[in-house]
Amino acid sequence: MRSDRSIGRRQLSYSALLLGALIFGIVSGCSLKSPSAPSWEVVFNLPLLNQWFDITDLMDDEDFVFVGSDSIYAIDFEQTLEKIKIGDDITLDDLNESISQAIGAFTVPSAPPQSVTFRLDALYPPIAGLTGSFPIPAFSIPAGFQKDLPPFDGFSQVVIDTGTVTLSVTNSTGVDFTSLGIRLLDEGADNAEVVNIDVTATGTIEDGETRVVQKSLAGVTTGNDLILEATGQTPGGVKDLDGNEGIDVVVTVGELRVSSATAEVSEIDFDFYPTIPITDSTRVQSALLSAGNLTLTLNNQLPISLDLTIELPNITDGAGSPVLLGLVASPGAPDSDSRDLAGHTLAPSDDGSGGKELALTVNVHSSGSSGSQVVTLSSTDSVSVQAAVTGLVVQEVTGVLDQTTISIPEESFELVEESGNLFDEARKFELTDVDLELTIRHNIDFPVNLQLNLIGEGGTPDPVQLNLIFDLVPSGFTPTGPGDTSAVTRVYTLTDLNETEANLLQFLNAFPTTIRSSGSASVGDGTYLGSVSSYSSFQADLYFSTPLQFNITESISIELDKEYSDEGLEMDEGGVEIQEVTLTYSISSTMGLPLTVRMMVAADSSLVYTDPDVELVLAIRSTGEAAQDTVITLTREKWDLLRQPFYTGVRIDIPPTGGTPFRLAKNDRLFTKAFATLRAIIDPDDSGGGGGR
Amino acid sequence: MIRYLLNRLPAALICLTAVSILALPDTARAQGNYSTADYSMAGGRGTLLRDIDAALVNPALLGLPGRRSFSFRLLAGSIHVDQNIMSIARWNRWQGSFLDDEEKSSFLDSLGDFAHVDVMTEVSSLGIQVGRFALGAYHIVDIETRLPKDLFELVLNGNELNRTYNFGDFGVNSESVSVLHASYAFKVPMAAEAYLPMTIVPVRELYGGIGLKYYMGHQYAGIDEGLVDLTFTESGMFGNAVYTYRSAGVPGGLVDDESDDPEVIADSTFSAVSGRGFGIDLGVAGVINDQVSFHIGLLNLSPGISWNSSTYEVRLTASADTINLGTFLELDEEAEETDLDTLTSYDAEVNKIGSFSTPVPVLLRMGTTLRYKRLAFNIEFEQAFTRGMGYNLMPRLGLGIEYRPLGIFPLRAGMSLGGRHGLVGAIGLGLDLRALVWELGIANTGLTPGRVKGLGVSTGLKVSF
Repeated sequence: MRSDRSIGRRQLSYSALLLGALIFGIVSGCSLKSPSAPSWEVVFNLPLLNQWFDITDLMDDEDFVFVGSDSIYAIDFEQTLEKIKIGDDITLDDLNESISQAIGAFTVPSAPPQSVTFRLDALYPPIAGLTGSFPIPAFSIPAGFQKDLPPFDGFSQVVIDTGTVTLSVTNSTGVDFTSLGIRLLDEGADNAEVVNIDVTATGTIEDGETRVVQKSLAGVTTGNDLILEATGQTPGGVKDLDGNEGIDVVVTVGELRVSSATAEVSEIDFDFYPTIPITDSTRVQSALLSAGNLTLTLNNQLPISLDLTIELPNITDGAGSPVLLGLVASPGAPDSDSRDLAGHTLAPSDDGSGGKELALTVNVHSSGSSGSQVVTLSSTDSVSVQAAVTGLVVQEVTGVLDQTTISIPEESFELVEESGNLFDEARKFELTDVDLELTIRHNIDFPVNLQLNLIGEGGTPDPVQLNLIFDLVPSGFTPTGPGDTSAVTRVYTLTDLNETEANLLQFLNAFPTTIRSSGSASVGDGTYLGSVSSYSSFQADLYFSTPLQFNITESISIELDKEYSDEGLEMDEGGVEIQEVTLTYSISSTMGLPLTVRMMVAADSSLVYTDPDVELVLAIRSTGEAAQDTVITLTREKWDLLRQPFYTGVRIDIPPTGGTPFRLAKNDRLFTKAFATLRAIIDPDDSGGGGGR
Repeated sequence: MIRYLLNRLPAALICLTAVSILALPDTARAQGNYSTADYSMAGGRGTLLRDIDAALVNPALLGLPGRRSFSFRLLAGSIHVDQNIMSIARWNRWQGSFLDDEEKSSFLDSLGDFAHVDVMTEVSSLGIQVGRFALGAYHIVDIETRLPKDLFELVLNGNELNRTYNFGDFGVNSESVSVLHASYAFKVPMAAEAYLPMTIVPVRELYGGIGLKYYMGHQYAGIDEGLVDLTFTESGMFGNAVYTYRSAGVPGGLVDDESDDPEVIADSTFSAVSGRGFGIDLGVAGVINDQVSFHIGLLNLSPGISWNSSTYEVRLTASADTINLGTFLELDEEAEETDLDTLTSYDAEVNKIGSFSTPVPVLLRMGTTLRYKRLAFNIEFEQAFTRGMGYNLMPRLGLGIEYRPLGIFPLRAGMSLGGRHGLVGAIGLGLDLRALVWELGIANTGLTPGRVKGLGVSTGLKVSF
């Protein structure tokens, strides 16, 4: 029993020992160190480039470089000049014209008749004082038998154009008169005869008979102090006398149309049609005015009031109605009226001799003298109106335009200057061919002669100049508004522009840095019937094209502006520490121009081009040269330099072409091959980079 | 010593956890881990099994003398995590160190053909054994992640010119399968004196066994074709990729990428069981004398699992020709696109497909047991004839020992060699109260301390009489 227990305890001990050994075996192998990432070195082989680059791809971002029609690259320069609006400069000359019109014959109103009685006892004195029946012998009226006529109302002096005087003669003498004449004498004119009337022209005027005789006063000038003079004969007869016998004469003067008078004046109303000649160089047929003013001034020098209505049928408003103005002026007083002509249409009339004129219709009206006022007026007295048309600006005009010169504002534009000495070095290029095109877009319906002056400055020589002279053909239409972009386009070549290629080459080979443009435009030729509006304009695109074909007379070394990297390059990131980079590369091309591009890096700006810390040389070899790999090894120390702020510069060295022009063609290509081997330490715990092993 | 062990125990637990995460299953098997006891002996306990667990190793074992008249598995489960990337010793050696060429080379050699991180879990649900008949079910989830070895080569050494790197092994394979099984053993009538075929070894008793299995596949995702290679030359990088991935039973749906606003269209065919299959286990087991017994079994005689619902194929194809930095130079946007379009191609398709099958590995398993007092030695041999579900075609030899200092307290240990994961060690213990049996097993990959790359644990509880 004890032995069994002993065996059992021993077996249990063996079991515990076995189990313990097994657990120990597992546990002892499970001692883990705290995580701390290892580091190791790797070598990455990076293919960088192995391909052809078409020059087309490389040039795509260059605004000045295009492929020409002959597949040769060309440097193109295009500049759009500011749009010139000539419509703003089309105005019409001011008009200032005095128009006048004589009032002509006018009317003096008729006056009440006046009468005179020639008594018989004055005609035959022997019967004076007798009464009863007496035989009266034949007798003649004594010569010079006169009697004053009472004055008429309404005038004192008249020069009669038309008018009549009517005598009503009543024979109350008791005897017949076989002849009887009555003369009307102007006593104020030394008894000058006004009119002579034969009362018995139709036969004897019998006793008791009244005879009416009318006589024209046309051409008569007379005052109002008149005398009647009677002549005549009677065969006599028996007359029962009562002392009242005589000849009664009633004188009636009708309405007189006079050329001059001191008199009451009747109503005056007449029209006249003056014209105002247009002397402007623009022989306008029709013009829509955007500004202008019409002023009519009446200064009434007549003794009567005037009321003028003036119509201008050549100037119509937006509704097509002619302009109508009115002037009212008292004697000796002025009056004026004006009209803003904006929006009106001016359509002058032909003057019959190739010119243009403005026609007016003037209605003159006067109510005459007021009341019984007597005024002195002559038919030659005139009504004068001063007409002034000023500030005419056309929005659109159709007509014939005499040559008008308009200045083209000066513009200045800088040519792109990429870096410090690029242009200096570029002057070693000698361009051998050039094209120039000037594209004009315009909508001016008049012949235009343009003179465009281009002055290049900042080059060698300085300045250089091109004078481009050319004509524009009328567009045949006129823009109707600001949104009307219709235009005719014509491209002018160097020949069209009256300039020589030699001058142009000299201009370009000077490599000016600034070009100023100015000039003038002469619009119209005096014969072309065209139209122009305020939206009429022209615009020029100047386009130089010079094939990339040039000689390089001496070595060119272009140093581009240095650039500063103020933070350095963070090339070691994410625990990757670059130890060494080996670049293997070569560039060859199908171009005939070998060149070398050097990228230089230095911490000191002054040493970038003289003693760089890092220099990458890209030798672009031309066709036929064997491609040769360039191997550059950048050590850890070089990379450390790039961690700090540094300056970079690019220098391009181009050898002379030796008289054979260099041409860059569309199908030229660059072949690049580049391959990098990076040796780096991977240290995940050093994600900040820096330091090396 | 104990204090030493206690002091290191926390670190050991952390170590176990860490290694478990990276570990890879070895003793796990597609048809289950057989039993916690077998797991505890690195798969080297087959012939010793006499209860419900025996049905999974060889149904004929249910007939051997000493079997339990009744056993009922309440619950059993295991998880095994394994990887071949980092051993504990290498981990400790790498921390804070500079990896020289020898170390990098050693590491890359240790990966074999590719790196992998695998997780296999098994949950055995209720199972019952009555006499020579057993009925049960278990569920397996197997996740295998592969990383190409050349990826580690690139990271550690950089890229070598004019060498083709292969990344076709990149991917995740996963499978989830439930298995219902029914097994029966019967005694084989034999002559009074019988011998093992072609030997003079007498056989006292011989039993035959047959098992039927019904596989219910829940989910499958696996690389059907993976060809990805990359070559660097001075001129540029060249590459080709053809990658086909099949899946079944994955929740989700088709992506309607034809419309302007892509949307996921629910897959109406999705169901919990996407694949089905049947299998047969056949075996014999015999007793030579009181100390020696043996068994031979052919397991999983099956055409495989046919997946037929929610089946998709993702096909990616890509190529690159002479790609270098210049390809990306921004000469202009149009040119860049043109160059890339010319030099590269890429296509991705997600297609719903019909049914497809995945294999169930057909296994030959045989073993023999030698008992000596309280010790039992077991040797097992396993050979898969088809790949799949964690098996390759490498034969595996397992050795196990069980020691019962007390009848109720078995201690177990074992090791295996070969198979998919090479050297595996395992230990285990149990509490055998006859009516109630609890078992615990731990296994590792690498066996020796410091070389461990995987770890698993298995436990089970059953009632038996």
